[in-house]
Amino acid sequence: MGKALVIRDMPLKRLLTIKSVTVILLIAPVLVFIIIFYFMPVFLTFAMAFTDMDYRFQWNFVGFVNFQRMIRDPLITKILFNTLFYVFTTLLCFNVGYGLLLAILTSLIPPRVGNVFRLLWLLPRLTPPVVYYLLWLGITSPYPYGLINFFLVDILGLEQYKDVYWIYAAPWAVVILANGFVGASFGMLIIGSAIKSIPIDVIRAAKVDGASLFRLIKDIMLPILKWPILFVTAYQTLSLLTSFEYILLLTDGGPGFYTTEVWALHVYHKALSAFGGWEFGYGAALSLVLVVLGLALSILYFKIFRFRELIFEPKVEVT
Amino acid sequence: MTEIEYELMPSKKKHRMIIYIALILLSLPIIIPYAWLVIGAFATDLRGVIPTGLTLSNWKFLIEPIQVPGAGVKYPDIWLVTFNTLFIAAATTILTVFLSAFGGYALSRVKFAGRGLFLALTMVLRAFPGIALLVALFYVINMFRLYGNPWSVILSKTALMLPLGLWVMKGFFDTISWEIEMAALVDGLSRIKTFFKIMLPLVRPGLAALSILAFIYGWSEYILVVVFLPTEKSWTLTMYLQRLAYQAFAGEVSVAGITRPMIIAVGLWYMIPIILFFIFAQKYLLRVAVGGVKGV
Repeated sequence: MGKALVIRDMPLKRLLTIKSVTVILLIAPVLVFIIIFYFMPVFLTFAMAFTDMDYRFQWNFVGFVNFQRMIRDPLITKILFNTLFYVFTTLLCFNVGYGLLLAILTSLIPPRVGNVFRLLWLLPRLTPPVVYYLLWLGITSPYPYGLINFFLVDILGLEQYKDVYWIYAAPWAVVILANGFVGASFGMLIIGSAIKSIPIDVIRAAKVDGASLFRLIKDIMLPILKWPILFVTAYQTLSLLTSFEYILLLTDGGPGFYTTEVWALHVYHKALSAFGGWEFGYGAALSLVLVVLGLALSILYFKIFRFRELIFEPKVEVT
Repeated sequence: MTEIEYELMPSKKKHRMIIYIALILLSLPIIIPYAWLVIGAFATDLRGVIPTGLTLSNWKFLIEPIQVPGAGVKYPDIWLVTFNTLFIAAATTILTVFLSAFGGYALSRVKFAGRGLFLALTMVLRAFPGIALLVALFYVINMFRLYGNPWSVILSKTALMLPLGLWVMKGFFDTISWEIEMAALVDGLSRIKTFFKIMLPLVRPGLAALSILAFIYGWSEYILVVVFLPTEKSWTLTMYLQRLAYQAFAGEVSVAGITRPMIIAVGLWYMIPIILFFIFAQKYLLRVAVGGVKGV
């Protein structure tokens, strides 16, 4: 930091001094938000998990009753398996798989055209969830309205699909596809920007050596992309574990009994929906699992991805 | 920055064609439903994406409130609902952008006790899924007597956006050379004046990008609205469209007075700001859509 030398001069240093009042004004509002909306809820989740709180909001501590109930509930196993199936299938097929495919393909064409496809894939992510749900109703409805059935019946002539309502006929496929098309863009952009930062000489050298496009992707690009892919996997595992809005809209955990109920949706059903009986204590115990997992994983990611490197001191030392 | 993409481009025309075809095929599941949304909003009825005729009558909901005869159900005025949505989006945007700019500047430029800790905290929060705290958040909102008040959504959404916002703004402040700020300070401006007069205008692209993202997320919010704003007078377009879709698309198909193309028109109405951003603010969207990752 050669520049820092200049301000060793005393007058300049005084010039740069920032009053502690100013610092407080800059930081305090953010801190207040973080304390009220992150620290307090984390603390409350821990505390509420050991109460039988309901809509009356009474603090009645009952020890480990909620956790015993959770373990004894035979449906919890089903919900757990649903959650794992949902997270890993969506993650592998779309957030990483489709994302990687899109990242590579869009980097093989001129940037202007590549950006058109990148923007197109950002659309689902930035569409209001309810409009996105409407699109999926349009895709899955029975003939002649649904897009899938229109294709199957009118174009392929498969009459037997006429009355199939795909959200009921194949709920998991719909849930995974709908979430996957939103999730693919994250991997596409992160991996895509990693491709952009591959040193150009590496590519040229490989080409001079006569590497085919396939070899170039397999032997040069994929090894370099290992870290970004791991990053996408790690990040998206957490967001898939905790986000449930599209499942709530599409199937609400159904059809039938808990067919597509995942952990985060179960929390909502138990504690926050009018039909669940407002079981805040039990809901908090259920979400404690997600909160602890979320905290542990985000601190782990912080260490793995060497975020620390990004914390450099400000350029000027002023106190 | 873009050179590498040309370097990677296959030299044979045939290979390039295969890539284009692959990309179009892979993207069809996105292209067709959005085409359906645009076409359906102006169609008398639909078979797949093909309209049986064109009409503007689907947009009648803008003039007179939707009524379901017999059932006694009347939908609130669309303009009120749109205003509610706009209010939440605008307030979320303003709060997110200002708080992020202040905090981001402090993180990027000011040395203070606990800075390292603060920075580490915001980074851990970037990965932490805030929505997992929803049950406890309900308690907090209730404690502050905000249940049923739009500010419950605005404040919660701002909090959820903050880790990302701080990170984006810090990134933008980091790219501005210290000499510029120094020149202003030497000219006798105070640190706080320098921030408002010199630094903020310099990070305008960052403010714009973050504003757009915060607006879209505030405008589109679903879960928080469902949980915190159940009453009809504070409905946003989310509740309005969901009720319509439930009534005519998913369940009772033949509710009188509600047609599929009309619901699609409401969907397109809800999409208008997002479509505008996609047309006029592409570079910002690509930059911050997944969280202001550098180089995207």
